[in-house]
Amino acid sequence: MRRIFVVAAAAVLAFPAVVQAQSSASANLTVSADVIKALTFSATTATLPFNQRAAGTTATISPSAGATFTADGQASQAVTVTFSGGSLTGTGPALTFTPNVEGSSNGTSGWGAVTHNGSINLSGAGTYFFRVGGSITIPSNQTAGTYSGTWTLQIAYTGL
Amino acid sequence: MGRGAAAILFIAGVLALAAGDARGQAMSGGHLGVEVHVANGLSVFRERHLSFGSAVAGTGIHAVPVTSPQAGLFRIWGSNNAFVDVTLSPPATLSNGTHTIPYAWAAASHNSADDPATATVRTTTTFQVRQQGAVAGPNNNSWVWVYGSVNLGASPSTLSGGSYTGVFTISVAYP
Repeated sequence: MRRIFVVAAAAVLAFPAVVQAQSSASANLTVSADVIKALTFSATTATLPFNQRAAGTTATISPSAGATFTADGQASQAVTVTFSGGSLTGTGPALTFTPNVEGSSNGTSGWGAVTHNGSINLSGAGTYFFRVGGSITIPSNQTAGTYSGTWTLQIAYTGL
Repeated sequence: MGRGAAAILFIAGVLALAAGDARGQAMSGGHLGVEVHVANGLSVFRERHLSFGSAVAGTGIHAVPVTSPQAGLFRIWGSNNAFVDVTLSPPATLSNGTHTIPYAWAAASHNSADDPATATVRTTTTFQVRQQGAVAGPNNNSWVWVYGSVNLGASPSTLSGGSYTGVFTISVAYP
């Protein structure tokens, strides 16, 4: 009997490391989030100076002579552009501003038309350049006075 | 190695019982019961990473619920009915090497089914589970889901874009 217990004890003691190694374990996983840089504009307001115009004409400012905005965000991301507003109110019936927007990824070349609900791609540096002109058709019987309003260009990452 | 150790212990138990029988033939009375409980080796596996996907900086809190396929998942394998101490070591923040974002961890466990919808929510980093696989043997599993939320702050945000990561560690041990 004593001899048997000695054998049993020896068997257990011969493998202490193996038994202990099975009694605990660990693992890990990666927690991740892909953060997209927030979209910003270098300037958020600008004025299109149509100045004094005669009734019965169409006042026009070309994009190259208009207001400029530079967008900044995550490199190469697709962005959806939307327009809103554009009604000018004053002393008479409201006038309508029709925007003419062009965009370029480098700000120096490759200017192309940008439309409402259109999609653009930010450059590899995460920038995009807009220039905004437009026109206002003034009826011949429009009441003289000052007309003003706000037109807004918005950008948002496509699909986010 | 684990099976080898279990086999040795089992032989020891058989030898002890045999000795009791032999003594019973040579001497009157006296019995010795020998019981050896051999536990299966304890393992924990990463089944799935936790991903919050893509989100824009400055858009506040983004959460992944326990039932989301984006939730992280560990599987603990051990002896059926065995108690297992679990220790979680979640990261406090995720980093892209330049900036960090806070991570609020959450976890839940289930000791009999891979079913996050009926898992027990865990609010402490240490807790105990009891292995209750539906079938003895290879199904002696418990599951631990890790999920939670990240806070991308308010707008305007100066967070740089990129992949923010952290390491979530689980440790398990028999008591």
